[in-house]
Parts: sequence; structure tokens; C-alpha cells
Amino acid sequence: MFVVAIVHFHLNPDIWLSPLIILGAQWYILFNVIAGTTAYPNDFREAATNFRMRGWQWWHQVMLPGIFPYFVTGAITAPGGAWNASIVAEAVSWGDTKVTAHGLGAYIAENTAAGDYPKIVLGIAIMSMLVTLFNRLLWRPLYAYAEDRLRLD
Amino acid sequence: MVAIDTVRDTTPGEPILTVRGVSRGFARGVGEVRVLAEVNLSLRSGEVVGLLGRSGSGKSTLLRIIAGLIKPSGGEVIYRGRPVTGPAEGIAMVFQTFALFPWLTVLQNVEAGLEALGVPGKESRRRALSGIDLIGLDGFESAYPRELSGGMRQRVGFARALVVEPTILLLDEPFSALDVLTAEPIRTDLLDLWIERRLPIRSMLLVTHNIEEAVFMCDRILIFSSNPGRVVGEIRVVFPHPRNRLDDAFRQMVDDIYAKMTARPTLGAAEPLPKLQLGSRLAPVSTNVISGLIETVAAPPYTGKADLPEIARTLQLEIDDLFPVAEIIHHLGFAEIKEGDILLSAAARNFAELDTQTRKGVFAEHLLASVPLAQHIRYVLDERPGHRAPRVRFEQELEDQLSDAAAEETLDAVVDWGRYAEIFAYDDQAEMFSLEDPRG
Repeated sequence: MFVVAIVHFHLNPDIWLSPLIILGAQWYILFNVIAGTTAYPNDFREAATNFRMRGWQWWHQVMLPGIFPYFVTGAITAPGGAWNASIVAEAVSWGDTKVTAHGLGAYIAENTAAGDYPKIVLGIAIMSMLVTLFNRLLWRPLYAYAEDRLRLD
Repeated sequence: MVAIDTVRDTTPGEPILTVRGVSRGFARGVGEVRVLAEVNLSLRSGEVVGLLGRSGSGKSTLLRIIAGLIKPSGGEVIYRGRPVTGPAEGIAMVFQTFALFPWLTVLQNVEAGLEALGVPGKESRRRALSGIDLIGLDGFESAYPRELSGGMRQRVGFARALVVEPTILLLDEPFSALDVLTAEPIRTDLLDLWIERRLPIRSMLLVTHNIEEAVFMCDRILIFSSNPGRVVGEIRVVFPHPRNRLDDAFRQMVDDIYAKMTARPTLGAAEPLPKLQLGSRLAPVSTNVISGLIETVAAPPYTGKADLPEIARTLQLEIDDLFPVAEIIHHLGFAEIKEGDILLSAAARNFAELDTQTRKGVFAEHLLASVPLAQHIRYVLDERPGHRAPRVRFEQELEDQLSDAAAEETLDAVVDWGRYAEIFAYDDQAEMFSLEDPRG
């Protein structure tokens, strides 16, 4: 559907293929956050209601810190799915029409189609490195913070 | 602290809060299961009222209805002349589990209620700090709850509730998660502040299952019965503060309440407990504990007759631990429970002397004779050609009369007793009852 719309309206694939990648990754976060809200302790909810905490205060003092660890867990697993989706989503086809965005996923997909092995290896190596970097520099520290500060005990 | 003004104005003030005909139940196949039935009470200015009952008597549910956290299925709660429909201003609660937000510091936790009230920053900080001082938490303002001991955490719970200057303070078993040594100073500190009138609150409602605690703290105690929960007795406590737990009159009152709680006032205090029905709720009491209590009461100094409060004190048991055991022993025909006493039957005295194998036989006889559910399971197994029956079959029957959790607990109890008595076998993986002998 999406591809049809892009082809039909001659949209810029660099922008309009992004929703495909994002959609491929959201489920991990969504389901983790849902798990977080179900596991949220009932007495915290009761205390917040009893002291009539509402609006912004309710979000930032009651709910968000409670589900943050679950969000981070989801966010750590999500890029795996997103990278995967990028290979498929950055170069999509509709019949004979190909829509290609500029990016690593497209690079890997195109070279795979052409059978150029050295370039496939290079593409995958770079992707692995990016995944590792993101994990080390962004998600690990956030995870450590969540473990340390937002533990429920 | 020195208690001044120990003789409080004993004439009841005007009612601040009235509970009228409140009931709460949930739908169940046919009809409904009632957790609370037609509860009436009023809270007057200047008094501490205790709701005393065993777990499952719905007293915490009633507290939550009063707090506006859950809705009653019948009746109403009137506070300041208006029905309570949600969390009301001026009703603050202290939780059994403390319910402190672990990501906020002590100060932020205490300030949370003030922020919600829209108290401006400076004023809020000032009130929070003075509340922290009042409850003895100074120095811990920047600590996170996990850095504190249980006792200090509950002090934060008290400070958080007190700084919003509530009219009514609701206490939901605030000391039961704490050990005896930790709980006592918090109790006395709270009472001192209350008696010296240094608290903004006008009335306190304490939910507890600890009889001594109720007599120690309250001006009036309402006794709750279980299934469904309702008020079955009211006791005024007129001893001046500070109260002495070793005082004769204090001890006597604790004993009297024990007697009231073991008796079934609806049937008259002298009458025995009602007989078990197929759908009666059963507490999961281990057969070891059953044998243990029978042996203890059979041995000197009791030799067959004992005072339940005394046993509870000697064995360091809470009523929630002791009552279910005593009742099961009664139902099994091993003893008579009357007015706070337990009187062993001849069968039980005999039972205490037997070896393990013979005991199992005697236990099986009593179980089949007096617990209809055990009888029923055995009957079904005997009748069926394969002598097997799935657990869910009995669970569904029970769920007509009990909540899901209660049905499960009841069935677990009977599984345990039936296995011990060897009247049936049960496979937990397959959830299947059978008459197979596990030894082949």
C-alpha cells in the first residue's frame, strides 16, 4: 500500500520510506511498554490517586519512571528489527518500478541483488558496528540508569 | 515524649464521615459473591477508630471505599455532608506496603501530595521539611526509599500523608509489614503527636488484624467478621494514654476480644461454629501445623484445654495464623472452639499419642466425615469408571459460591489434606485427581 502511494504521488523515498522502518521497530517497544503498565504496582497507583496527583505530575512522577525500564528494554531490541527492516524497506519495488532511498539498507539490498560479495560484507560489517555503537553509547547507559534509579523495590 | 492531656474529651464530637449501608460484591455466574455486606459506621471528631478483623474480612476494601479509591456496589459514604465519589480532599492514607515512589527522594515523596494540591514551591518546601522534622526523618531528606529501613520508609509514608493536613487519616495495616521492635516506636510517636494535638488531623481510622495494636491505639474498635465482611461488634476503649500492655484491664480486654472473634455472634456466643458446606471456604493449613497445635494443646501445661490468646502469645502467632488452624481442628472434630478457648476432643487426645501411619488413618476418617468437599471428591472418583477427575470440575463448582482466588485456595487445602490422608492422589502437572496409589 505504502509503496503504491509513493510510486503514484512521486514522493521522495528518503522521507517516505522511513515509516516502514519505524513501523517495523515499534512493536518491540510497544509490547514492552504494555508489559510495563500491567506490571505497574497497584499500590503506587492507589497512592497517586489518594494524593490526587494528576496531569503532568502524574506522568513524570508516577507513570513514566515506572515504565521507563520496560521502554529501554524495548528500545534495545527495536534497532535490531529496524536495521532488518531497513534492508527491505530502503529498496522496495512495485511491479517493475523500484523505489530506492539512500542508505545502508539499500546499499546491502542492491549489492545482494547484484551478487557483489565484498560490498555485501562491507555493508553488513558497517551495520554491525553501528548496532554495537548504539548499544554501547546510548542504550547501555540508559539501561544502567533505569536499573539503578527506577528499580521497584 | 511526655504525654500531656491524657484524658481526651470522651464525649463524641460531631460525625465527620458516615458510612451508610455500604456493600461490595462481584458478579458470579448466578448471583454475586459479597465481600462487604451492609456496613454502617461513623467517624467522629477526636477519635481513633479501629477496624479489626481477619484477612479477607473486607476491612481494607472498606477503607478503600472510604478513600474513594473503589466504588461500593451499594450504600454510600458521606463526608462533610456530601457523598464520596472519588478521592476526596482531606482524606489521606498510609499504606501497608508504604507505596513510596522509589525514583523520588524522601523530600520529593513527601512533597508529592503538596504539589498535587497546588501549594506554591516555597510554602510546599517549608511544610514538607517541617513534616519531616515532626516525624523524625531529618537528615534523610535527600535519601531514596531503598536506602532506608522499613521503619524509616513507613515514617516517610506518615510524613507524606500528614503534610497535606488531612481531616481524616486512613491507616491500612501500617505496622504489619514491620517487625515488633520497629513498629512500636512509630506507634508511640504517632500516638504522642495525636495526644499532644500536634497533628492537623481530626480523626484516624486504623485497619488492623492485631488485637493488641487495636486496644493500644484506638478509642473505639469495630470487629469485622468474614464472608461477607460486616461489623459484628463494637468496643469502647477508655484507658488513658499511654496505655500499658501488661496492665490487667488491658489484658482482659484483649482476651474478651479474642472470645468475641472466635464466637459467632449471629448464632449467639455459646453456639458452636456452623458446619462446613460443600462451598465453604477453607484455609490452606498444613497438616503439620494441625498436628502441631493438637500436640501442643494435648501436652502439659494445657492437657487438652487452652486459652487461644495465651497460645498465640506463647507460640508468637498472629490471629491470622492461629484462627484458621483452630477452626480446621474444630471442623475436623478434633476440638471445640468456644469463647476464645480450645477444648480437645477424646479423638484428638488419642491422635496426639499415635504414630504417623495410624494418624493418617484417623485423619482420613475425620476428613471424610466432616469436610464435604473431600467427601465429594472421593465420591466422584469412586463413581467414575476410570477413577479420575480433572481439578477444573471441582473448581467450577466452588466458583459458584467463592471468588476465583478463594476457590483455588480451598481446593489447594483439600488437595494437601487428601494427599496426607491418602484418600486420593493428585497430579499437579495434569491437574487431575485419581485413586491411583503412587506406590503402584
